[in-house]
Amino acid sequence: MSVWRLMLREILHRKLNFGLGVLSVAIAIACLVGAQSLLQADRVITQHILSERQAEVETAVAEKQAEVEKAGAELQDAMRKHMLGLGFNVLILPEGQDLSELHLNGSLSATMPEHYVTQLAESKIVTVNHLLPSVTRRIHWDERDMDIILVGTRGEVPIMHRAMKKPLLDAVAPGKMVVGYEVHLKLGLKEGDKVTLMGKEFTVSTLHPQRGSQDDTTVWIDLAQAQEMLGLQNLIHAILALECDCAGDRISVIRQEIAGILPGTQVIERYSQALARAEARGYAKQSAEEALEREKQAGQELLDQTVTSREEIETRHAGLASVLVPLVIGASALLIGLLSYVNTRQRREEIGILRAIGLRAQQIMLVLLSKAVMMGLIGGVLGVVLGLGVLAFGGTGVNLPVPVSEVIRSSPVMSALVTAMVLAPVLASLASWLPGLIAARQDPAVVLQGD
Amino acid sequence: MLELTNVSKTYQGASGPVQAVKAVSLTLEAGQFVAVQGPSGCGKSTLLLMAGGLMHPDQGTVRVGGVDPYTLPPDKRATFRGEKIGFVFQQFHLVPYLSVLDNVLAAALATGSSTRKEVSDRARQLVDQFGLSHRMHHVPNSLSSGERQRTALARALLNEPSHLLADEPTGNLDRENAETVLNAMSDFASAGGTVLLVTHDDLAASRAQTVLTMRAGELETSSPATAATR
Ligand SMILES: Nc1ncnc2c1ncn2[C@@H]1O[C@H](COP(=O)(O)OP(=O)(O)OP(=O)(O)O)[C@@H](O)[C@H]1O
Ligand SMILES: [Mg+2]
Repeated sequence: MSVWRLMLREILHRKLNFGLGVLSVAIAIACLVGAQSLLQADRVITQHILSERQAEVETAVAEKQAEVEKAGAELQDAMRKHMLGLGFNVLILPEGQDLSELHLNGSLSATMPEHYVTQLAESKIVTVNHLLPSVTRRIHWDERDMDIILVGTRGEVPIMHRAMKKPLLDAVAPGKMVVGYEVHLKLGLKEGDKVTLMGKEFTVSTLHPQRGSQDDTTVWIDLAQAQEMLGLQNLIHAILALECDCAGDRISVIRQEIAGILPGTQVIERYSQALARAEARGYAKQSAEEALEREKQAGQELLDQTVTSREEIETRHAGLASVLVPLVIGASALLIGLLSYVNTRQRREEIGILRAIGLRAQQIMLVLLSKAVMMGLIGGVLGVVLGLGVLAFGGTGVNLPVPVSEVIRSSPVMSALVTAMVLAPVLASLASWLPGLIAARQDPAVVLQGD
Repeated sequence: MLELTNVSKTYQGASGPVQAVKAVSLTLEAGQFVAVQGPSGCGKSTLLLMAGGLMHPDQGTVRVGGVDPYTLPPDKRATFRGEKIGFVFQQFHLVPYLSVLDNVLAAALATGSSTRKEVSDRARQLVDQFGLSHRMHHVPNSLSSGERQRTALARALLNEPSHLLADEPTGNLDRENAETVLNAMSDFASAGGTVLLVTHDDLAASRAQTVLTMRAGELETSSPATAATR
């Protein structure tokens, strides 16, 4: 016979009371574990979703970035190529030049003094970066019996007051010849070949690939030699102005500026399809950049949205839990308290008896409290099992983005158990201690005589 | 030795105060067996409870073995009761979820000897002595009143107290069982214990050395000479 046996006997004697107590602890703890696990699951899921979204967004942005870079590189490349290949953007011609001659024959006849180019170069022109004076005439190459366009060029004229830009075109050295595609194809010319043009000897220095333009039937030689051969000493037909800096209505600005410096000239835009293409590419780049920006923004929005919606869910759950958990725990506490109180009232007589036969208050309390601890222990374990069980079954049902085991592993089982083990005895003892203590303090006869 | 000096008790009943015991004085020496008789409601049980350290008297003093239990703090008084006083309640007051044997053994919780072998042996022996062996593992509410009464007496005797206070211990017993119980009380007194018995039963009273009559809260006359015989 011991106090423990007394307690066990009492529990067995009042199975229903004890069972209800255990059940109410179990429900409270199950609720606690469930709620905390749910909140934990929220956090795990949020993290999971966010990292997934982040990765998605990063991939999308990286893809767009690559696209933009590619578009940019393509554009730059294309710009340079076309500038080089086609040579210029703006053609400055004497005012009297009939343009149909140029378009019909690829030839020019009106001339202007060569010093015009110097004048232009020494002016404070800002819209033009490279200047190339040239003579251009359609001739019959008697030695080879072929119609060609002969262009004489001396390369770029350095623009004054400005650092020399990397030249876009090299000058053709005297005695050298650069040959367009159709010409060298028809004549079977190779680099290094010696040819005679209008009685003068030239060495083929460069063969152009096909450009699909007048360039294909053009032969380039040194300007001075061309002037001499064509009898145009100190005269030029045109100045090619390359890489104009003006955005927007380019041509009218250039026209204005050039007209101010070189009166009696006309300015026409050449090979605008190249510009259009460059513009298109520029636009492509810009739109790619815009797309990138949009992608970034959309990504951020998606992330923000996800965070917000997860926060909303978490807040909602936390709010629910913060109401539900105290409610259930409170109800359980009330039930435990009530059970203990009823129990203690029922037990007044027993307490009176035990007191009468000489048990100390401490021993009687031990019986009451160890029962409460037992209740907390069994109820707590049961509650954790119940809570996790529901979670595990429910979790597999609702198809969480993370494995249920992960949620369960991170759920606060230990703290819930401890809570149960502390809470239940505290509640039960609060409910049974005071009446118990009063019963133990009264005269046993008074207790036994009851109310 | 049991000494009551001018003890009084008034209950605050629902329909006004009831003076149950009026300035009763009584002295029992060690080895003395005294019976108190009297009509129902005259205050016998009240007197016994006060003598047993179970209820504060309103007035007067109680001394058990020279100690006034009511001057002790509650826990000390409980232990004192457990060690010095064996008490048999009129309503038995057994612990409902303990078996006969455990109910008897529960008394040893007061002295901290409940797990000792000789104590459980003594409990079995008492159970046996009062003819309860076959009911040893039964709980009170499956017992007859007589069986409960005897269980209560066995419990009162377990700790070998120096005083035995019994309220109608033979009230529900047949003659044979009553004899067993009364013999046990006589033996207790012979061994130097003090016995105060409250009873309606003449047979029970006849075993006492002294029989006192109580009426309306007062002891009539102590006539030790007349009651001491037989
Ligand atoms: N708790 C109580 N509250 C109020 N009155 C009580 C209380 N207990 C007893 N009384 C009254 O006190 C008086 C004495 O009661 P007590 O139980 O001592 O009588 P008794 O002599 O033992 O009677 P019985 O022979 O029937 O057991 C009775 O009139 C009873 O009604
Ligand atoms: Mg009575």
